Amino acid sequence: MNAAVVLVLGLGVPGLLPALVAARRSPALIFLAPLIGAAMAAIAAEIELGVGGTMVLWYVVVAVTVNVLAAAWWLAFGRRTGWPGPPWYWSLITVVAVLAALAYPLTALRVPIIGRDPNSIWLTHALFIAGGHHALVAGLKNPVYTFDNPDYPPLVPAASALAFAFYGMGDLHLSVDMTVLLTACALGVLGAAITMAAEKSRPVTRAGAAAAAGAICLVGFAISGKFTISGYTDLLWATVAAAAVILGLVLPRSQQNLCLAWICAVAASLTKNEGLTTALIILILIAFRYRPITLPWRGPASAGSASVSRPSVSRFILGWAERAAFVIVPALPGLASAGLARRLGLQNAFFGANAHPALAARASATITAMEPYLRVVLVAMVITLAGCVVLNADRRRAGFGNPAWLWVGWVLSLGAIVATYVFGTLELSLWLKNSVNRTTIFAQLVLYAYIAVWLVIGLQGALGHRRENVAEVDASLHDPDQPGLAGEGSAPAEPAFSSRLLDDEGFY
Amino acid sequence: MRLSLPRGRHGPDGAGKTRGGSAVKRAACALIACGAAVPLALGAHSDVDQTKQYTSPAWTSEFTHAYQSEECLYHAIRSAVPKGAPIYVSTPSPAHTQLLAELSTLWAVPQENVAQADWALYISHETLAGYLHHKHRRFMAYHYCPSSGTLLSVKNLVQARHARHRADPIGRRQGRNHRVGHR
Repeated sequence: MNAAVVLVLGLGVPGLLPALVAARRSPALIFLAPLIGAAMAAIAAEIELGVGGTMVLWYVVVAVTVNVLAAAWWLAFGRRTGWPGPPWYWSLITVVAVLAALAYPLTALRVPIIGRDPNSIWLTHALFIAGGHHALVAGLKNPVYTFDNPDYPPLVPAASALAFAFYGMGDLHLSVDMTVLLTACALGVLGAAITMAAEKSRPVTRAGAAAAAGAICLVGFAISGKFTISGYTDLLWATVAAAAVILGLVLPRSQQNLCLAWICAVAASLTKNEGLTTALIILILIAFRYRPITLPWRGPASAGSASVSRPSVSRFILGWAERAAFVIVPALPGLASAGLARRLGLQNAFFGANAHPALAARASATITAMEPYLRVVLVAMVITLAGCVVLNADRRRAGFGNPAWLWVGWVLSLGAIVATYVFGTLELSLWLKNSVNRTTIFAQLVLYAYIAVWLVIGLQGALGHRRENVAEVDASLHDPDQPGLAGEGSAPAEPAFSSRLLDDEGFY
Repeated sequence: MRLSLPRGRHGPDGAGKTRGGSAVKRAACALIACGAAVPLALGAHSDVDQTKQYTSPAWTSEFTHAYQSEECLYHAIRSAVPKGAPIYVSTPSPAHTQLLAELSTLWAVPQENVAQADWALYISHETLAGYLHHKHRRFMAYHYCPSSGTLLSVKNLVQARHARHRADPIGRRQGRNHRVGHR
């Protein structure tokens, strides 16, 4: 109960306005606000570590700054875009469905389980942060605490430290409660992202999407087993990263989806080191999806514009600068955390001085250990292939991303985790035994989420679209007042993107 | 071109709401939707089973005991050691060493070297008889957590060093003093 109060008042209220600006009428709004609050608390903890003072003080400063910026952005640009999204009552129905699904696994919070990592890493870091700058620096640099991976990012411990500021440090389980509730919020965002695939669908399809959103929440808890309920953060980073993939690489390109994907990537990068790596991969892919490279044999001719036919150096540089900004700006909080850890000389336990010589054997053992947890890949592949055969035209017409984006992201993120095992210096068999079930959560969850999106697309194909949808697209093509993304002028978002596609066949 | 469509209660209710969907295609779409629903349903069902297990009386009892033990140690450290004291944690089990180090966070300051510490913390699983047996050792304080049978032993290293110094003022046992550290 105490954790719920902190989640709502301490994290949700300060994060509400930025969430409203980003999510508008989307059902993600209610679940996104606490995550934004937690990300702001993490940034405050970074300032506490790097500059001084206390996290609570910096949290107030960061929250006020972010809210002022959100309000200013809304007054300057946001009002023009109106309130896109489903009707309020559909958002409400989705929220109710997701909350109902989350309620059951959360009943396990009555049992005071604290896992080993939540004790030795997250609770300890939360106490460090709660103790102020000196305690934080001294604690992280204390060689006695090397077991707790002092270079881990601060999102979860910062949220727990905020809870300790509310209620004192008498209840150790409070930090576990905070972690689990934040994870539930992340699952809510992922569920909401899935329902956003059915925004322009008929009510039956929307109902199916709401059911899929509820199901993905239960699936998330099922994949992670008892780890989530005992305070591990693996499902949290995996869920926000999966939401970033769905919003940024799968759903149609729009300002709203891009903004939500960035926020999810920020949260993932601030939760765990694996989250930072995965978030960087996702952000790079999002940058290339939203600012595609025009291939020489496609671009100028297919764009059909005289100005594009003479690509100048400045245009080339501007394009790459935009792509770099698309990656660096949202990755900045996570990179700052990694940079601070490096500056303080903090090192995790995974990479020692001596690299292991038998890399091939380690790679083989890692893949063998991961295999039982990745069986959903086959199902996802079959559904993707079937969807591409039957529904490719529908997918392209609705603006959904090419499946290649997701699969490339999946392979790269899993490759990063495999590389960690291969090049790490810990004894492999014990390391795999203790962690492989957690490090594969993202790889499983993102595929389950993608399956849920195909469920929605399949329902759309079986039950049909609303005709209003067709009318909206036609109208937007001829409405000069409808804004697009930054740099797209006054053209509407989707058609403007369409003119800059990687190829005419719809690789987007 | 803006199409004018009649708006019903739930949006347009015009006939022919699909675009060029043949019956075969619809069936294939339904098949894809069903195929996607199956793994989601299985996953959701799996969570229902898991949650039932985690909330079962056996699990509840086990984890409640573990948590009570941790809370007991947390408060024992705060009652046995003054705030800000440098402590040395030494247990045979690395897990117990970690646990004591993390539970002393923000209260005491764990040291890597016993020579820099004023207090030493040990943990062991003892019976009550073992606890009573240990009770008479010098410079030691004991805190027994009955829920888990965990015994926290706290040794005052400063008093022990003073006593040793009084007993051996010219430092004949230099080797030992050197190991323990003389403050």
